[in-house]
Amino acid sequence: MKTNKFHSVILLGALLFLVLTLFSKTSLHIKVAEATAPNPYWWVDNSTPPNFSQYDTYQFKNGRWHNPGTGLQFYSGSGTDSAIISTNASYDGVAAIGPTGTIGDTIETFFTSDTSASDELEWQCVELVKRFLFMEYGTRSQPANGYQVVDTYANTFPTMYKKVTNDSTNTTNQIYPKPGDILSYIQQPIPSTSPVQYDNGHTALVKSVTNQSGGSATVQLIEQNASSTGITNQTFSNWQFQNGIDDSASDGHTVSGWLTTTAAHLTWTNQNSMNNAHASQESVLLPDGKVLVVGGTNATSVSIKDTQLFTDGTPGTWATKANMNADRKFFIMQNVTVSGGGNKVLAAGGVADSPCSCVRNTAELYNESANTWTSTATNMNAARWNQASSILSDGRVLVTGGDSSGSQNSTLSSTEIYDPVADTWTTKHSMAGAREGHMQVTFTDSSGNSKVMVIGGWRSGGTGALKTTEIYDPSTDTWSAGQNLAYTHSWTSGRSTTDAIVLYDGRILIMGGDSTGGMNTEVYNPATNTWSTYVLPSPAFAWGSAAVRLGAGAGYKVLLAGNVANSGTYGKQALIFNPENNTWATTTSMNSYHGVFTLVKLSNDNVIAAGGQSNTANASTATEKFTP
Amino acid sequence: MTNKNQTRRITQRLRHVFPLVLVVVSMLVLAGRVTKVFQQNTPPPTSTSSQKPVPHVTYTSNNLGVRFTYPIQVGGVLKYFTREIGNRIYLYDNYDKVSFNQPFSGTDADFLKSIAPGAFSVEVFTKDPQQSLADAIKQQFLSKYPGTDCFVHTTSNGQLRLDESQQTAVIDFPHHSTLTHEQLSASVAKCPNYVTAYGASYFMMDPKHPGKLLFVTIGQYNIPSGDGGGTWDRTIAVLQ
Repeated sequence: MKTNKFHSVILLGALLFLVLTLFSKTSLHIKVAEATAPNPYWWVDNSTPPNFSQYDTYQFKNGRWHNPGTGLQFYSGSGTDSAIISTNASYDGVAAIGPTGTIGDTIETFFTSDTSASDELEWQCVELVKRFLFMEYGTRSQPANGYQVVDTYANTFPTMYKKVTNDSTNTTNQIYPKPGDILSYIQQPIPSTSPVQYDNGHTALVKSVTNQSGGSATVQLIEQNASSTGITNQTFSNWQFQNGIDDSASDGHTVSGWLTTTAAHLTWTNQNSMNNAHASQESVLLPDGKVLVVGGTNATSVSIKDTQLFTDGTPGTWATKANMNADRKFFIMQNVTVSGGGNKVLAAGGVADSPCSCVRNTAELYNESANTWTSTATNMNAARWNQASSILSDGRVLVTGGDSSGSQNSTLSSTEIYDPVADTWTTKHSMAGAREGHMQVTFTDSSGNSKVMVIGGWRSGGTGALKTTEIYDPSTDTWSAGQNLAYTHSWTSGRSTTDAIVLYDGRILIMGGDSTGGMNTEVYNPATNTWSTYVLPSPAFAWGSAAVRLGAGAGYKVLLAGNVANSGTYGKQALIFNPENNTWATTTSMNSYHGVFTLVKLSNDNVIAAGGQSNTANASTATEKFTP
Repeated sequence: MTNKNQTRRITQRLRHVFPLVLVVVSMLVLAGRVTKVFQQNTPPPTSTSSQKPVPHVTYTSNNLGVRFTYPIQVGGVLKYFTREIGNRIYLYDNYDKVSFNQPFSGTDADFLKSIAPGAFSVEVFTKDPQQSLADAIKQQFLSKYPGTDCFVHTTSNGQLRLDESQQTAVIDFPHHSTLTHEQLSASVAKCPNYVTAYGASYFMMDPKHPGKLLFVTIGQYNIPSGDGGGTWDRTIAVLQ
């Protein structure tokens, strides 16, 4: 009996311990998250343990550690002298660090960042402002010395940033700086040496602006490798900065200007409407920066052959172009490079509403310069709609699955490749299972080989959306089973009609496709061959949304916009996925309702949204532009 | 009967063992989570050789007898170009609004005035092969400057070039971390142009080719070589 009581106590204790253990996960994560310094993960030094750099000390003081390859190793923090310069020398969680500059310590460490960014030096002034621009906006580090920062970022990402020249004689420059703006200082007068030997100037971050009155203000800056406190007040009067570095009137530098975000940053701006309505249309960005929108359905939900071309501007405009030879909805469209090197646009398959529910086996090519649609030399080997496609690494187009029946009861497993140089369609090995309404992306596997993944979808006669994936190897014309999707929900076990994006780091992000209005998105990592689930903020996305990968200025984040919710309501909402920390954040909603619509990133990194279903389910002509 | 007894014995054993199993499982779960959290926050490997190669080209100057590798593009947008003028090779980007991301098409004089000040560069000098790197710098650049104002600091630990096959040095000056910007600038003004106060530059000599002295200008940031081997300047090689 005593033994039984003892066992009961032990059992109860064990259960309590297990429960506490399970709950402790959250608190552990929160603690670490709070302590983690606001640094990009790739802001990495090149010192080799046990030698510790200033960066290592900074990391240590912010609760980080590193693994030299032999197991966990905490930073000792010894032998170095770096820290946050002062408790006030920070803005929006980004701190000025230092100091640098004792003899023999001129530059201790090169930071080796990710391969798409410049490398930063410890703890130069530019390191702070580039770290801030990355953390605040996701902008990749751009090559620039202190005197070049403002011009470089403004000219490289003109839709996100602009330069305010420090010259109040031009009234357009008579504006106050704001917190988060960046200053550049340049050596003055320009040296008379030949070649000119500028010093590298200086750059600083505006922490606060107060007492604005009559063109004067109190401007507080944070900076590295200049003032010993990391903070300085810079005289701003008569609508311009008056002095040089650290507000010295005689240090030989002047503020050339300051970098600020454009008024359009994170906004949707209405453009001229389309000439006629499209929904469920296909769209591509042409090499000349224009957007081609083709087919789909009109305002009465009937399939169309219309073609329109969007030209960016203020506002952007639409031009009606030659119709396709056949009306198509739920077809595929891709840019292709044809024989001779020219660009054409391939439109293939789809279904028509009139005079029958005809499933197309035809394909045609659009020549922008001639404004003509021309049939490909041969038709596809199978009539199909609701299929998927992607461009292979050699420029050919792989088309998979779909349905051969207008009544949607003959889902296909067959695949074929269009060779734009030879102008031929060739049947390839079929997938293991039939699928339609699925996603397809070309990606690079862990061995560096280009492969294709088909994801989810559904099949006629099935019980709902699929959670399976298959991987195609173009070099061997073979299919193999991929990892199943991670997320399951009550309706079925998979996803259909989703959005899929290859992230800048090679992972694959899929969104939506969950008819229960799911809030989960998933990321496939080819390096680990696993899916991970990330939760969307509300509202839920079901289908009809569209996604694009933003540019280097916006940190290659993913914009997800529009929606047809499970309840049949339509959405204006927009969200942004940050691949650096795998988080979703709500951004400014669109001005109009869009579902199953055009969402294309322009060559200047703005994003155009056009047409699709409005909140009345009718095809729309509304067009708007997002500035990331 | 035997089976029933066996079953009872197994059940009793399980009752004894179950709490222990729970404790062990809990500890394993906790340990697993802690490890996972640690791993999630672990910085990537610190070796520069882990960089992924990106499209790059190698510039070779037969005239100056040096070569280096640089990336075609950095930061997702800006492209890099080279220009050789006299004894100096410039590695530059062009962020100018008018000719954005295009090779500079102007004259050498215009280039030296507008592009060169912000460019990376390698300047090639000759030296007495018998002379040490420090002595060559003193003779060629510091003969008119008091040793208390400007002096050679050799970076024998290879902090600027991690591969110790190369000798490196900088012209340094008296300074410490509490100097104001003005004080620092005043000190710099007492030295030749081959001092970089706010940024990085260094002299370099390849012991296999001791007849050459190189001055490498970097600035306040650097760019990768593109070949996965660290920064561009680490690929600088003396050919003859």
